[in-house]
Order: sequence, then structure tokens, then C-alpha cells
Amino acid sequence: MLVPMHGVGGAQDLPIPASFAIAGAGAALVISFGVLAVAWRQPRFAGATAGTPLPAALAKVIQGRGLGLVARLLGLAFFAYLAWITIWGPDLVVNPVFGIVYVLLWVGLVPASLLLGPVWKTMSPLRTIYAAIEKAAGPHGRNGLYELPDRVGYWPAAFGLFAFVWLELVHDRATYIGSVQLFLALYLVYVLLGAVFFGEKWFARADPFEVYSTLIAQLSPIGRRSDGRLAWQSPLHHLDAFNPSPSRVAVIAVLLGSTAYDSFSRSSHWVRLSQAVPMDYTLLGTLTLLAFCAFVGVTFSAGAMLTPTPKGIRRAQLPALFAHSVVPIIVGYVIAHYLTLLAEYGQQVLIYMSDPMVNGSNLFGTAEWEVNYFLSREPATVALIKVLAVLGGHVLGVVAAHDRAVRLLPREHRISGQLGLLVVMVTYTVGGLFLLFSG
Amino acid sequence: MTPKGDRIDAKVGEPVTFIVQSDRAGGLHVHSSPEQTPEFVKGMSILEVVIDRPGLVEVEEHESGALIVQLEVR
Repeated sequence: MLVPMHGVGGAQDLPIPASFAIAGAGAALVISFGVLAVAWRQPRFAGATAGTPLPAALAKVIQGRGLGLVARLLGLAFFAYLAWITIWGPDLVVNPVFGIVYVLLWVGLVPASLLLGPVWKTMSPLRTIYAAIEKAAGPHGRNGLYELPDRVGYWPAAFGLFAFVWLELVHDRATYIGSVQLFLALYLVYVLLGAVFFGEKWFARADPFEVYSTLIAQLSPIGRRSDGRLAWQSPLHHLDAFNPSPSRVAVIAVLLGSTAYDSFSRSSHWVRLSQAVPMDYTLLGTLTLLAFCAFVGVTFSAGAMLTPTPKGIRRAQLPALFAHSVVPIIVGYVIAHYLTLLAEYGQQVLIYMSDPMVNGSNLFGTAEWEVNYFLSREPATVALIKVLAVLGGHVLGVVAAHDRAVRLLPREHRISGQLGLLVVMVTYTVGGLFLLFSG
Repeated sequence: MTPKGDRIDAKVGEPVTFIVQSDRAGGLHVHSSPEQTPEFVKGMSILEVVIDRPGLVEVEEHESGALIVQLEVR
């Protein structure tokens, strides 16, 4: 018998019905211009000062050594398990390493960070290893050998994120153990060696998983106010405290562009395109992925800059100052594209995890489970969730951008100055719905 | 190899029949969940596949990984 050796996930979601896509696109248009017409004229979100402080006891637990230690130990256990199955596990589809990296880690990072905050920063086994190196090096090894220049920003992470999505979405051997071994080895060296050179700051700027998780955590319910206290914050207040940096525009461009590319590259459009263009499949995929990311980066920057510039701000700074408004749009896209994968294939990964060496063991007691395909059985419900997720992300994005615009833009241009970005956001949403419909 | 990724409608629980004409023995890789791998022989083979849940299912030639059809199962 032939055994499927490679590949992640089985059946994909059906395309959403045309009526859903049209209704969603219409709603996006109406809501967008509605927000513009009737919404507040004075800024309301203040991430740095908003929110009710957490009860002292809860804040103490969250910031305490105990919880931090537990998170670090969990991170190390995860690292050890992943290293074990990556180095010694079989090159077969039943090796859980593929599902862990591409589904549980990459997709699961989004809901985990939404609910719990910057989980990867808290758990990161690489930060733990670095802390050990730093301790061993003594007082001279602290904070790296060189100062990381500010202009580097988040570019190292944008590069790392692009490398990861390229491996996942373009590389034809993404689900072969050799590719994953090589990627994880390079990731380890890139992040740890960078930290040795540039100190702890490197993690927040270069580790793709940490930068992704921290970005999404900007919508989580607990934020830190400028007075240092942890506070319950509504997602839009918390989002407002986003640290703007031009390179973070590149990060959001890679995240949103690659998710759209993933949808496109599974569609019949892609099948036709790749057969019509006489070019190496991998090269065409690489160029198309780059084009999707560049499209987001360029259109977003252009949309944000298409306004009279307020006093004291250079036009080139505007994209960074509005970049936070794309975060909810990314979350909406991720839910729409990966919900079924995470909920159903995620179960399959948990099953594989109990027997990674395929020798009949049942490490976590999940080996006998069976996958419950509760979502695939209800394609209409899934389609509805997708449209609502994309729309919800869009609304939060538009509202966040509106609030920033009334804070920053000169009074007489507060409304007209938003039009460029609004058109861009509607484009992302209608485009996303189109990909979901025509997939 | 033809077809090259055509979209085909199918019904949940009803068999989809593949009539395969090949110059070598091999197999199909049906990306349903769980996956299915019916095999064909050199010459003509008739294969039947049943998909038991709605979804978009890619069918590839096993060895080359080339996409043959996408089944839109409703």
C-alpha cells in the first residue's frame, strides 16, 4: 500500500457562498463610511493611561517569579520535545513536528496571544538559554557586544517572518523533515547569535514568533499603563499603545500579505496562473508571495500618507503611526483562513504527539483519540464565521485608524485625510472575501 | 498528465470514479481527512473514491505530486 508521506492538513474549506461575500463586502463599505460620517471627532483611545488597574493580588501573580518560572519550564519542555522529534523523528506525515510548527505554533500563537498576551516572550526557550549564557559569561557578557542601532527596528523579524512563510507556503518540501531541521537550526543560530551580539533587545526585534505574538498581544485584555501598572484594557485602548516603528509596517505587510497569498495559492486562479507562466514553480511562488507582501506594504503606506501632513510630523512617519490599525485585520484574516485547520488538524497533531517515533507509545494519552470534524460538517456555519471574522477585523481596524486620525491630522482634514487609508482597508477586506469566495 | 487541476463538483458520500490511463503503475493521493491513496496499474484502471464530509479535496498523482483535480464536495 502507498502511504502518504508528507503534507499538513487534509481537505480544505469549501469556498464561501457568493451571497456571503457580497453581503460582507457591502457591509464593509457601509460600516467604513458610516464610521467616518458619524463617529467621534475627539480622540478616545489612550492606551498608555486607560484601563482599570488589576487587583494587586492578580498583578502580583502575573508579574511574579512563580508564573514566569512555570512559563520558562514549559517553554524548555516544548523546546526539548521539538528538538527530539526534529532530530530523531521519522520523515513521515505522522511525525508531529510539521503540525506543531505550522499549525499549533504558527496558528495557535494568534489565539494564545489574543487571550493571554505576549506568550512567546514569556515562554521563549531561546530567551531562557540566552539568560543562562549571560549568567555564565559574567558581568562583562551583559547586554551584548554592540548596541543595536535604532534604525534596524523590526527588520530582522520581518526577514525572519518572510523566511518562515516562504518555507511554509512556497517551498515544495516544506513537510519534509530536512527542511524543518534546516529552518529550526537557522532560526536558533539567527536568534541566539544575534542576542550574543546585540543583547536581550534582539529577541523583541528579531525572533519572528515573538514579534508576531507581541503584535497580536496588542489586542489582549491586559495592558501595561505608562505608570507601570497592569490594567484591564479594552482591545482598542490597548492597541493604541502600539509602539510605532517604520519597520513594523514591513512586519504587518509580511503577515497580511502571506495569509492572502496562502489563500490565493490554493485557489483555481493559482492553478491556472502557474500553468500559464513558463517559470519554475518555486520561483513563481516566491515572486508572487513577495508581490502580495509588497502590495500590502506599498498600498498601506500610500493610503496612510495620502493626507495633508500635521504639524511636527513628517509624511514618511505616517504609515508607522497608523500601522496598529492593521493588527485586527490580520487577526480577522487568520481566523478566516486557519480556523478549521487549527480546530481539526490541531486535534490530529495532538494525536500524533503521543507517538512521535511511531512505536506504539502513548506519551500524552492522546494516541487513541479520534479527530472530531465538527467544523467541516457545517460549511455554512464556517462560511458565516469567516465573513464575520474578516468584517470584525475590518471594523476594529477602521475605528482604530479613525481615532488616530482625529488625534493626529490637522482639524480641517480630519475626515478627508482618512479617505486614502479607508479605501485601502476596504480593498483588503473585499479582496480577502473575494479570495474566500473564489478559492 | 491531464487534467491539470480542474475543479469538479462532487457529493458527500457518493462515489467519484476515476478512469485512469497510465503508462506505469502508481497511485492517487486524495487529500481528504483522513487521506486516501487508491492505486492504479499500467494500462487502464477504474478507481472509486468516497468523500464523507464537505470540503475542497485535492487529488494528486502520488509520485510526482502533480495536481490532477480539485473536488468541490458538498
